Amino acid sequence: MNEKLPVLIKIEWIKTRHYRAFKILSLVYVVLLVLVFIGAQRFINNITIQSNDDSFTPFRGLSFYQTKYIWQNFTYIAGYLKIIPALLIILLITNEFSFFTMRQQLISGLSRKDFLTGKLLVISALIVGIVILIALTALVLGLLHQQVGDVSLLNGGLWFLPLHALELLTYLIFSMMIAFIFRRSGIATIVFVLYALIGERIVSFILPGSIGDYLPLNAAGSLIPLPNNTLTSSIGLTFRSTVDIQTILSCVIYCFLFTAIIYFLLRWRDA
Amino acid sequence: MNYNNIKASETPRQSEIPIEILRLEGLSKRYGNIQAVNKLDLNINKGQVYGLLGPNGSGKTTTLGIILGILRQTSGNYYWFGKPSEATLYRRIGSLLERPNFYPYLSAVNNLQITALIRGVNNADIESVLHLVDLYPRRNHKVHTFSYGMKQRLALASVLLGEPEVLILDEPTNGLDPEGIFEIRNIIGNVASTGTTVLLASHLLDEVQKVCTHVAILHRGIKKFSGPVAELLSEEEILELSAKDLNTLESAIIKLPEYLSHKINNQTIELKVKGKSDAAKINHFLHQNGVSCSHISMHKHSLEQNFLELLQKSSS
Repeated sequence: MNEKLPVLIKIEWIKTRHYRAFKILSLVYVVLLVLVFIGAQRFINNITIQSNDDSFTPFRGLSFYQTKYIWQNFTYIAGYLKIIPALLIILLITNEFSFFTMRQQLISGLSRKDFLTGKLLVISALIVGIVILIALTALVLGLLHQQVGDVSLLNGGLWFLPLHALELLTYLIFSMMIAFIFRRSGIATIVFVLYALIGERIVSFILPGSIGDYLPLNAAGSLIPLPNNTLTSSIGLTFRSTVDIQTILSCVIYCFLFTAIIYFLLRWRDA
Repeated sequence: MNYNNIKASETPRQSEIPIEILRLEGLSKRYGNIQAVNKLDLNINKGQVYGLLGPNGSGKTTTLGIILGILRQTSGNYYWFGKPSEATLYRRIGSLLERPNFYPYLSAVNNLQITALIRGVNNADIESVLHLVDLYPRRNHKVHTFSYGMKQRLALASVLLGEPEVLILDEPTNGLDPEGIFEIRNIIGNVASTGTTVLLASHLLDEVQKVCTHVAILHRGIKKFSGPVAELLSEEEILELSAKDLNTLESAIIKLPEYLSHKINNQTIELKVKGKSDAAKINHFLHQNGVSCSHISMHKHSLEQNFLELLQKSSS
């Protein structure tokens, strides 16, 4: 397997680097992410609180780049944009069906396992790229806004980065499974978006107790909780600031389960 | 690699002891109520150019899909090089199934690079096959700018990458102009002359007759015949005659001492005689009986006629 990995990486690199939709969506994602990170502080600066004399005064002391919270802030916000790489994955997979290139590669001698490994490598590469981008932006903006007495950037919750990676992994493997099931880009995109925006909420609502919290996208979305800060504490809100092992475990299980379902589809369904 | 400059006489068509390339044992495929392939048995040996012949919907492409590992058979087995199928074995086989399948946004070279990487073939081979199919000048152009014929040629280039031991071609001349058909047939002929085993699915009898050494005929998923093409071509000679007065001609030919049977076909009479037919002698006999023929020609039953007879028999 180890000697196959460079070959699979080269194959996927040829396929993706010349794909216009890949370039456009990647650019949109990067620009949006950086703009959101830069613009977030401006948005926060507009938050006002009502004073005793009923006038609105700006809320001071709330920094998006506060080193204590920067990693959680950034990864939490980035979670809202993960639909873009998910749509990209759907396009890349469904292309293989609409161009009949998957069947061509299988008859050329690529095994189903290798084909799936190639796609997992694309997902991994995307995740690594996104995490590096978030890390670099956080470092730059964090250093620019660092004030005397702030905790070191490296002590501010770096572990949110691998947590975001797991969030992305669960989300992207789920989108890949949808693409493999429906094969057509239009149908797969509609199903995915509907499920992500509405479907899972409805299912969560129907399910008893807190079972809905452990549905795949809910679990992935709750890996990084809403950050606590001076504003939330001023209005008496406190969110979980620890890692929820059960959520992590359910995400890991989902990743394996979805990969197994995809492999089963590849193995038993006509290509 | 150069498939162009090989003389057929220089390479053995078939070795003395046949080496098994592909064996099908009771292969069946069912789609709901439709039996696409029904208990198909077939043996293909090294060096054979095997034609898989049948009308549209006879199960040719389904059979190829199964043996190429992209369709799952309902029952039965198949063995490549004497082994049950596995992905690595397909690297020894060059296949073109149904239509050329490429990434339209990639160039010809990029598309071939993907196949070369899968097969473990050197990049230098890409240039060679592009020259072979005359696409080298367009190598850096995106595939979506190619005509269907060019895509078909690119598909053939992809199939030939790495000098595969077996070629599987499904309707390779479909949608091509006469020049393209001639070119593709030439390439197939040249590849076959190197001793490469070829499995060619087609509904074009003329194509199979021109290219193949062996043929299997499928009808509604059932094998109706398999064996050398020569076995299917009748040795029987047929005389085609026409005259101004077809009735006089008909009554005269019945008097021929070697007369066997005849059939009226539009404005001509197809005559079968006992033994070897001699057109000059028959013409002389007819002239003596007051019939002057406007046309006499002799031909053998074509693969097409035998194929149609076989299908008619199986339908009835």
